[in-house]
Amino acid sequence: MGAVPSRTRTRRADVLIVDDEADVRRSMSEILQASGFSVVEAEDGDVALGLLRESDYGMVLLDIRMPKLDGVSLIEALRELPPVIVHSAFSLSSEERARLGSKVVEYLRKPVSPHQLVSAVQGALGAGAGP
Amino acid sequence: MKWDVWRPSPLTVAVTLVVAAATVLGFVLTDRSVASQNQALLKSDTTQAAEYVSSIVSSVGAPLQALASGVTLTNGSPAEFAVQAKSVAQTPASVILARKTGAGFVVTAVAGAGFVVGRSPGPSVDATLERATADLTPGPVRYDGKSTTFGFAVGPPLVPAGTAIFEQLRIDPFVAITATQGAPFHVLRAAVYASHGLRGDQLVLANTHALPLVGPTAEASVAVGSSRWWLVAEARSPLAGGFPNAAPLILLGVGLLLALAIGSTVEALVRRHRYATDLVAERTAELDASHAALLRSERLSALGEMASTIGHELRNPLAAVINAHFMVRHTLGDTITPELDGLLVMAERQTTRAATLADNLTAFVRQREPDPVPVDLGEVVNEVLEATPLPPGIDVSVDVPPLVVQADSDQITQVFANLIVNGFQAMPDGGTLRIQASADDGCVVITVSDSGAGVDSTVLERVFDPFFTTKASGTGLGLAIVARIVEAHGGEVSLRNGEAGGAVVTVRLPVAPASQLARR
Repeated sequence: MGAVPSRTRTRRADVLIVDDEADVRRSMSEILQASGFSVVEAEDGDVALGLLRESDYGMVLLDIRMPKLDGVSLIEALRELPPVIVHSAFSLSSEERARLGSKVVEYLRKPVSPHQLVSAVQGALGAGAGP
Repeated sequence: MKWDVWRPSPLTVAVTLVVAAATVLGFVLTDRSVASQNQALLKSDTTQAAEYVSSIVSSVGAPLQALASGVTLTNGSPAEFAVQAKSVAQTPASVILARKTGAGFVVTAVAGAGFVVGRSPGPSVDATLERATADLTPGPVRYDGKSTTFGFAVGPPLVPAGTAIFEQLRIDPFVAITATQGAPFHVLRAAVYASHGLRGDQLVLANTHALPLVGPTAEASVAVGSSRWWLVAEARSPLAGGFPNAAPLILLGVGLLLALAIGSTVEALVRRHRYATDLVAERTAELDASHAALLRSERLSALGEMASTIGHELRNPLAAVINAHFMVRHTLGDTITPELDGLLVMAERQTTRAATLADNLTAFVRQREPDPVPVDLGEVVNEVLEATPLPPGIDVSVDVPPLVVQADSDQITQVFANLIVNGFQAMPDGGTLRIQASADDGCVVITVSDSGAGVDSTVLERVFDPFFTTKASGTGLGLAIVARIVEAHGGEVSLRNGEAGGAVVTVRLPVAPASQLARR
């Protein structure tokens, strides 16, 4: 689960940031880039869905409440996904967490400290690399 | 709804008394009416009896008048008188012919006993003969306790002047004779006296030994020649009849029963009314209370929704600002000036404060149902203390044994975090925060005490209300969130001022929530 598919697709970036808030998206992007990660941004679920179907990413940093396609629907729309960190202003109910299952490796509640963010992304990428 | 079971209502007493009084009045009026009717009938019967006695007595005079005619015809011959008088003078009667002399009357002829020819008939008879006329003249009456002696005289002009006839009778007054039998005597107890004073020695006739009569009586005069006797009588039984006589008592009995029945009915109605009134008051109070609770709940719910929305809306800007601060510091690196560093520290501190506010606002939203898992309270306290910076001058004393409760881990952590931060904030000049916990009858009791100034007693009741705060920078949500979480776990929370000063918050949590026990 979450492993890079066996098809020959190149990894486009380490992190796909999906968030409809431009400032949040941009500030996280800068922090992660400053920490040495390659980053691609998507402003909603639809765009992210297209990107994920085209290319591979090391992990996805995913907001939940977004216009068009929300985070939960995005996860459910894809059979195969890299590790996902949910990063939302809302906490998910235990039912929602159960539905998302092990595709989500961590839940972060906005706002998180930059150190916590970088550490969580590192952890997720480590999980995605797998043995 | 409490009232004395045995004490009737004033209305019941009043109604019962009015009906009873009306009954007694009715009884008195009816009784008087019946008594008056009885008296009228008695008077009528007595008068009739007197007339009857009068006619009987008058019949005694007829033979005397016949004798008088004989005396006139024979010019007062004693021999002729003696022959004629025999038919009259049957026991118990005696008849004499007397002639007036210078020393009063002298008996000239006798039929029967008690008189001697040639002698005076006695002073009382003499007086009677003296005033004898053609009318029947009654002589003296004397009752000696066994028999009554009485007599009648006739004189001139029925007999030649200077002569008179006297008949004397001796009877037992109680022997039933024709005069005192038959109607109307059979319904009366009656006695005939020769004087109006009803003297016992003047008794002539009676049909009862119960003398003198004591009941309601009536009197009537009995005409005896030119004189009068007196008949007094009482009724043997009510003359108006049994039912009319019993009617007042029947009326009284029925009326009093009716008073009781009406009283009972009134009391039943009064009690029903009182019960209904009490019930309505009770239900109204309950409705008022639940309405107030509903209003409060709606108000809190609306507040909660608003707080939650604001809290969530703050999170994205806060995330961007925190990240931006970080990038500013990262970009400046070692080139940062002390002044800029100071400004950044201030910005970061205030952003952290805003983030805490956002946390509190979202936490206050109507809590999700607790998701109970075994939670070790000792561990929770240690985790919270590790994550909370200890302000200078404050000591923390922890006495929490390993106590495991079924609770929502995140929510219980929030409870301790809020209580501990509250305690720290209550001691700006330093002090000691004590956290204790112990097991007690299926519950755990946790107390968090500070050594601060305590809470003003006038606002103690409101400290758990949302948005109520005594701190200049507080949101007033910390204790409200604690209360919500604890209540959602089936527990209780209270705050009081400690004996040695400072505030003491006591949380009582069931080891396993009731809802969970019911579910399993």
